[in-house]
Amino acid sequence: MRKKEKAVVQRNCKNNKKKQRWQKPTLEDVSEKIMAQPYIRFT
Amino acid sequence: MNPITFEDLQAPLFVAWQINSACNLECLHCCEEAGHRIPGELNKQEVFHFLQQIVELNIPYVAISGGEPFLHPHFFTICEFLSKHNISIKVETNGEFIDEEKAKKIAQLRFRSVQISLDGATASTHERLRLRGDWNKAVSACRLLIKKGVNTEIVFVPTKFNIQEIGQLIDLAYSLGVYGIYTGKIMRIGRAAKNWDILCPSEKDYESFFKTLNDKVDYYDGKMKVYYYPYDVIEELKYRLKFPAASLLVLPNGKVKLIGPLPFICGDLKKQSLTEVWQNYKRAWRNPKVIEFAQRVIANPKLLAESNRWRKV
Amino acid sequence: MTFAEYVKIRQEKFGAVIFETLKEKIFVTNKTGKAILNLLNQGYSLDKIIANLTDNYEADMAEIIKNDVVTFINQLKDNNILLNDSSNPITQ
Repeated sequence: MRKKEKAVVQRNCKNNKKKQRWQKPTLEDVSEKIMAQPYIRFT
Repeated sequence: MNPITFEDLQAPLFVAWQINSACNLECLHCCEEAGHRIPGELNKQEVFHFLQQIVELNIPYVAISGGEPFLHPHFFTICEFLSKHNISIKVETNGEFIDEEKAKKIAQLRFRSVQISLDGATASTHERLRLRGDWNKAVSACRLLIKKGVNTEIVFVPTKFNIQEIGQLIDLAYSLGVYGIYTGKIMRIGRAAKNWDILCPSEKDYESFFKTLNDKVDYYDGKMKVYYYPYDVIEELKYRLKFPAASLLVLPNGKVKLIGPLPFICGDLKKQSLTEVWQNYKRAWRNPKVIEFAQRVIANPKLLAESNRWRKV
Repeated sequence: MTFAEYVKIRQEKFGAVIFETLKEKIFVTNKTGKAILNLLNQGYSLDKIIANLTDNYEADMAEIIKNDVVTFINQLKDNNILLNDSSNPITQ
C-alpha cells in the first residue's frame, strides 16, 4: 500500500472507532453508610 | 449503579490507629483501658512497613490515638511520613504535651485536626474524671494550636460528674475558637464498663443534656460545629451489622479489631499485609460467630465489658 | 476549578470515591464521574471537559453530555468538593 493510501485508511479507522456509550455521571453521598461519626469510632 | 458498600472498595478509606497504650492519665472512662504498655507493640520497622502500605493502598485519612499518642517515641516521624504523602491526619490526645514548639510543628505538617479531650468546663470536674489530668494544660493546648491555625476539636464524654457542664463547655469551646465539639452518651466499654454504675448518668440527666445540645447546635449554627451522637453504642453496633464502615481499627500491637464494642480480631499486621487484613475484615462481617455474638451483646449490653478480651475471627 | 483542600480522590473498579476528610463526607461516583474528575484534576476547563468527552463518546449525545457534565460539576461545587476559583489559571 502506498504511503498516502495508508494514511487515508488510518484516518478512516480512527473516525470509525467505536465510541463509548454515554452514561450519566452519578454522585452519591455514602458518608453515613461507610464511616462512623467521630464520637462513636472507639479510638 | 448498584448501591456501593464497603465490600466494593479495594482498601479501607479510614484507619483509626491506636498507636500506643502508654498514657500519663488513668481516666475512669477510658475505652482502651490505657495507662500501661501492652506487650508486643509494633516496633519502628513494623510501623513503617504499615505506613508504606497505607500509602500504596491510597488510604486518604488516618486518625492517630493511643494511649497518649504524644508519648510514642516516633510520633512526629510517623506524622511527617503521612503528611509527605498527602494523607489527612487527625490526632486524638489529652493535649497535655502540646507546647508552643509542638503546636508549630503540627501546623507545619498541616494536620487535618487535633482533637483534645475536655471532660469539663472547669478544672475540678475534668480532673475528677481524668485522674492525674490537668485541665489547664488541655485548654492551653487548644489555645496554642488555634493560634497556629490548626483545626482543633474537643471531645466530651458525659458522666454523672460532668454532664451538667456541657452548655458551659460548648461556650468555652467557642470562645477558644475551636473547629468543632463532639459528644454523645458514654460508651460502656473498657474502663467505663468497669466503672459503669458510678459513671453512667441518669435518663433525666441525659434528657437535659440533649436539650442543651439541641439549643447549642442551633445557636452555633454556621459558627462552630456542635455534633452529638444521639444514640448509644448498641444502636451503632446494630447499624454497623447492616452497614460496616470502610475503616480499620488498628491496635498498638498491630492486631486489627473488627469494631470497638466487639472483641473480635480480624487480622494481624505483623503477620499479614494490609490487603489481606482488609479481605479478612470484609469476610468477618459475614461470619456467623460474629453475628451471633453481636446479637447477644445487643440483647445484653453487659457483654460490652468483654470488648477488650480479644479473640480471633 | 480546583478541588477543595481536604478532598481526596481514589479510583475504584466501579468509578471513584471522593473523600472530603475535614467534614468527613464520602461520595461515590460511576466511571463517567471518574472520567470527569480525572479531567478536572488535569486542570481542564468546563468547555474542554465537554469537548473531550463529546469526542470520546457517541456524537449524537453532545447536548446530553453537556447538560450532564454541567449538572455533575454543579453537584461537586454544592458539596464543597470543587471550588469555584476563577483566579486559578486554566491550564488547558
